Amino acid sequence: MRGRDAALWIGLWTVFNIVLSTLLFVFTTDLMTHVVYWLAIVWLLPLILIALLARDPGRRALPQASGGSVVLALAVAFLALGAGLGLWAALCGAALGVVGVVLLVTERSA
Amino acid sequence: MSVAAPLAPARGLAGAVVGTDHKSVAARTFITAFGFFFAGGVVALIMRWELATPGMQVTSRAGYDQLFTMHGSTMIYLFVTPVALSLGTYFVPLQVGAAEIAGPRVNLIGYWLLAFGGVIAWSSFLARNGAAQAAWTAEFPMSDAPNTPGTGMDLWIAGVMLATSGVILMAACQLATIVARRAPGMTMLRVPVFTWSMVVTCLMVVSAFPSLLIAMGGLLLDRHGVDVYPGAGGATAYQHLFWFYGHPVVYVMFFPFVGASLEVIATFSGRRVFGYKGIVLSLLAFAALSMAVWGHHMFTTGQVANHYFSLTSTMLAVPAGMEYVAAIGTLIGGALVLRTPMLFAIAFFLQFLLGGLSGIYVGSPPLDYHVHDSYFVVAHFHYTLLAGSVFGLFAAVYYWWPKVTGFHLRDGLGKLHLALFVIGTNVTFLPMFFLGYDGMPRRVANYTPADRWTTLNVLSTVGAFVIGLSIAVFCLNVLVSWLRAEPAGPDPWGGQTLEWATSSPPPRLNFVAPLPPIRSSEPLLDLRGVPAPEALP
Repeated sequence: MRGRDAALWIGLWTVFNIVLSTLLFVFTTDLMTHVVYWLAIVWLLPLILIALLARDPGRRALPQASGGSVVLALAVAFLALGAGLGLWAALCGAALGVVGVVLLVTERSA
Repeated sequence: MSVAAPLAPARGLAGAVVGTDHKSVAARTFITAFGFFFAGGVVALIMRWELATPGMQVTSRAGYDQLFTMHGSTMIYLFVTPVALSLGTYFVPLQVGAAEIAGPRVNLIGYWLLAFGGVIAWSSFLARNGAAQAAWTAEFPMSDAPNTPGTGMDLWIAGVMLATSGVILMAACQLATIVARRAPGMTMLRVPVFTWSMVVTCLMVVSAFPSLLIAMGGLLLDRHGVDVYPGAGGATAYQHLFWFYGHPVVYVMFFPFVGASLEVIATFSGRRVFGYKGIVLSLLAFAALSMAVWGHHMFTTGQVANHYFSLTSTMLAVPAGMEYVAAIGTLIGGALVLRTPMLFAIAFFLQFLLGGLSGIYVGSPPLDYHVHDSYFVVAHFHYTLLAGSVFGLFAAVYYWWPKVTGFHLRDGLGKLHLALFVIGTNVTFLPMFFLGYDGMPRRVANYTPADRWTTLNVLSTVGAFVIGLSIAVFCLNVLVSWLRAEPAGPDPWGGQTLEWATSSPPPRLNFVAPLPPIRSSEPLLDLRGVPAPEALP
């Protein structure tokens, strides 16, 4: 129910955006301008759907710490570093990524 | 709050690295962002030292290019945006009565991406050709491999992409918290104003920031031999992608501080915020309009619909005006208590006004053609970002410091900080309007005595060092207050929202006692029997 309430407001914001982006058609036919704008608006639709489907929180265990999350972030950082430092960094990132995912799965199932 | 008690908390260094408590992650984000603020601030002082007099004093031209690139990048990607999100990470769950943020692991990943991104961007100074030097906008083709060779630019792009990804994840967690973790009775029209400001902020982050990732990803590929932005149209395509992020980010760095400042003004006026529903609607309209103005950064390219973007940019004055009406309406008739947070909040609205009004000026194409790429623009956006956002940030810091730490910051030192900050800000940036109008271009390391810009530049440099002094006073305040702690108690200001209904600092699951009944956006005022607006005659 809470999600539905929030979805309504996100929907209203999306409507504001649709009105403004539609108005843009009066002023320009430039494809790039429209594509950039409409992609962002289309992106909002799944957000509304997720909000609509959100259930009230049930009883759940909260994580106190998550080493897997930190390793995964480090993996992504190394993957990005590959762009500047070379393939070795990207490969380190890939290996760390595997470790991170395994750690996260272990944490969640513990 | 349907949650099970967590396992034993992670403390010490381990807690600082892997802890998932939203309050701890927010504190780390805040400290990290302030670390980058100090670094970016030192860079700014070096730049001002260089510009104080004609000639090259401190650095080379290429070095100066690196300095202004890293200053702008740091302040936008690594300081103001993350610090705004850190406030939300800490207070959104508290204000909506949740025990924890939604997706605590994702939130933690977001923080570390931000931190790693910042370190990688700054590590570009170690590269052979130095750090990135294509401005915080990394305009294409200035930022392509032939024009900016070396790994410094690549590291910068990687760092920006990581930091932005981190911010997107943190915003998504806050949005999910507001959507699905609100306490019973907390309908969307009972959500406090600050949390509403975070709703629109997070909506803008998740919908506009991916555009920057696409722009930067394309740039990275382009630098490594893939023709992503080929031909003359490439520069325009890059600008569309970049500015579709680049203008909304201005409001991401503004809305949270509007929300915080309105709450501060309401609390220190002893009354409810004026025009709650109007504020909500104006925030939504404001955020939507700010998604539709990116083209005004491209007026002079001749490649965008100037009429449309001028119209939407000017229309921003309407919702902005409504926020001012809300602030003034709250102040009028209130029992004003002029403590440091209140003074910073009032200063926020006053200082931002200069940035906002000069925004109307540059939102008009003929006038923008005249001042484009001049110091007028530098003055304009510093009045919105430093004079605007940072005043609001300090209002929030002084207001919520007792909640986060359990002790007060000194009021006297706070007022000294404010006075120096007001003087420094205006002495630094007001002369830049005149310099720009007189034709001084931005991003230049030097000028000649014949330009007759020396006096105004000296003034601006003096102002920058006064800002530095004011920040030193703030640091002193933190130190003094830490060493001689004055306990604050759970609700030192007579707060109105749920974060003041718990201890200072709040416990792991935020609330131990049952939440008060939630019948409005100010449940603690309801508890004290202050009548709701609809109950007034």
